[in-house]
Amino acid sequence: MHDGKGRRATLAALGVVVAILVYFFVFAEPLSAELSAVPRWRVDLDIGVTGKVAAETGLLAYAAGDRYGYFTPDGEVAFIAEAPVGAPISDSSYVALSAGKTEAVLLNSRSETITSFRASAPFYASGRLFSAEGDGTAVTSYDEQGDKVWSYSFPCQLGAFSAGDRLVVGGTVDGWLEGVDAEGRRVFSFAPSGSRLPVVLGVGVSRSGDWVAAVTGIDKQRLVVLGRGGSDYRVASHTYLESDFREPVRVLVMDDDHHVLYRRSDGIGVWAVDGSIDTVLPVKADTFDVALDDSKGIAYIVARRGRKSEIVAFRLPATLLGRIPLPDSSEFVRFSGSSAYIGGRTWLARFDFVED
Amino acid sequence: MSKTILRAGTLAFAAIAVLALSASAFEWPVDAGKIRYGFGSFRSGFLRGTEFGATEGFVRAADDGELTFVATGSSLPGGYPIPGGALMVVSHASDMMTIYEGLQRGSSSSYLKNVRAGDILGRTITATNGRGVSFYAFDARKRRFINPLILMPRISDDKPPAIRSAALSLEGQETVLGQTQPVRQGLYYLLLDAFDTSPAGAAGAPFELRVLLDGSERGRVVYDAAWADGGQSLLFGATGLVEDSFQTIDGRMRFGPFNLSSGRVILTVIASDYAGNKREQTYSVSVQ
Repeated sequence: MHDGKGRRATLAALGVVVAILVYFFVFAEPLSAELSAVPRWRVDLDIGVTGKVAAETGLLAYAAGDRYGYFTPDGEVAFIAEAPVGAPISDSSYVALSAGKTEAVLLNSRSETITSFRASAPFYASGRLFSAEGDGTAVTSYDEQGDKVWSYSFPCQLGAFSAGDRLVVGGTVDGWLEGVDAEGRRVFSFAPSGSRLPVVLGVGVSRSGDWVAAVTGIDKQRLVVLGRGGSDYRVASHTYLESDFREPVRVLVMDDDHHVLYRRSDGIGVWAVDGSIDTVLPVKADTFDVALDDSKGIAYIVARRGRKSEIVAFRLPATLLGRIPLPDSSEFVRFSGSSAYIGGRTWLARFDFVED
Repeated sequence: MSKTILRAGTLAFAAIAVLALSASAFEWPVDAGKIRYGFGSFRSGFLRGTEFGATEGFVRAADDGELTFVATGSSLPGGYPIPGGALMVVSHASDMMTIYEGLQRGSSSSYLKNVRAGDILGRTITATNGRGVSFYAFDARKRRFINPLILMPRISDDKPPAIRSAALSLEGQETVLGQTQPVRQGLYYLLLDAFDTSPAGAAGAPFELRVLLDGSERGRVVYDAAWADGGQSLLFGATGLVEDSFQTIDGRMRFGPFNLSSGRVILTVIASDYAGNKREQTYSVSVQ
């Protein structure tokens, strides 16, 4: 009896050893290089023009609360200004607003006036200048000179909005998606339906304009991806979600034209436009932005939850590489390649992600 | 052609009347005495709802329904500014939606799902400059904004609208009516500056405008509905006028064009409010 028990125990132990060996030698994966964040510079921000920046230097836009301005990747500050409601700003231009007036002034990054133009609520999206009009039911697009290119009225208030280089999509609070091309023409109008109550909570357009992803409906909520097919847009994939959001939901189509990120109750969902990927990054966020560093194949998410924010590095589709909590005063975060620029009202810093 | 327009107009009125009956339980979300601008008032464009003036208090649900969307803050995730910093949407039975904008930030009852008529949705803001709370009634089946006056409890009003000015416009040249100056023959637009004083004392839109030439009705708009199609903003259920062709950049109303041939033309403008008060103004125009 004893001998039989001992033999079984030996065999079991051997089995475990073999399994471990098989796991290590057959299913081995190379360890990814360790990712670390290297600080490059930090500057304190004072209001005013420094005059230190050469005219030909490429400037990056900065905005935090009521402050805005431009700086260089090397940490030189071109100017910092302050306005009660801040200023809509892009890398090439910004808009100076006067309280209670519909006349706005468009200036270039050197603070030279380009033009004055009528706009109720100007803003930038994907580097393009727009203005919200009509009680939140319309949008006007302007060119780089501040000339009106087109105006488009949606049938109802917008609950979601996204712009690519050549496509703008508005999602209305009554549950419709409408796409507008670079000439202001409607290219599609689509009601995802399939839920008890129709509403569009979030929409994302790929930079190319080939893909549109949206979170829609209540009971049940859906993620719907539309793809361009000739001159029309058709449903490429969709899934029902467990969430019951009744507020704006961040949805992004990444620049690789393949991955869709969207807010979920349990993290950030990662979905492929063709439905072939359906996974979750364990990063809880009320809202987030993403930047893709093609050279390293790494994506960086800036996740915000309440007053807390963090940077999360991951390899697509959902391999978490690391996360860095940011100070509570970090109101400004932007990426350029593997460089992150972080700032608050009074400071600005850069650090680079490097693989050791 | 005129019969078709008449039938379409009658149908539009009938549909809105049915809607008004089915939504008759609606209550004003803020004290109606604080209405500053009504449907159709010029607020950098055609106002599709009702805007309230400065008042301390609560914004309440107009009827039983379900809260489907709450957004607060400066903008939506894609950068689009949130009007007034807060947007709330309640879906009601009979395919109606009510939309509330400009509530005090941080006051939105976003935890609510089902709401009863009169439930507090948030606090009003004091409209120091710009806008106060705005309220919209939206027919989700027809995808049209409806003039809230049609759906809400009546507001007592004994003041007729006013016609501030009327001018004939030909190729950008304006001739103000009421002067003895003759005009030459041609195709003219009539530019009207007519308003109805709101309960809060601001100059808002009337409910109906009629234009008669020599006693014959040549233009009529009823401020009942507004919608959009193909990116264009359209106004008035019976006529479907393009907003930009009706409302000028300074907020006047454009009628026409009317072909004025030589002789004397009697031009009559009748402005009415929702309570039925009327103002009629007649101009005698000498055409050479």
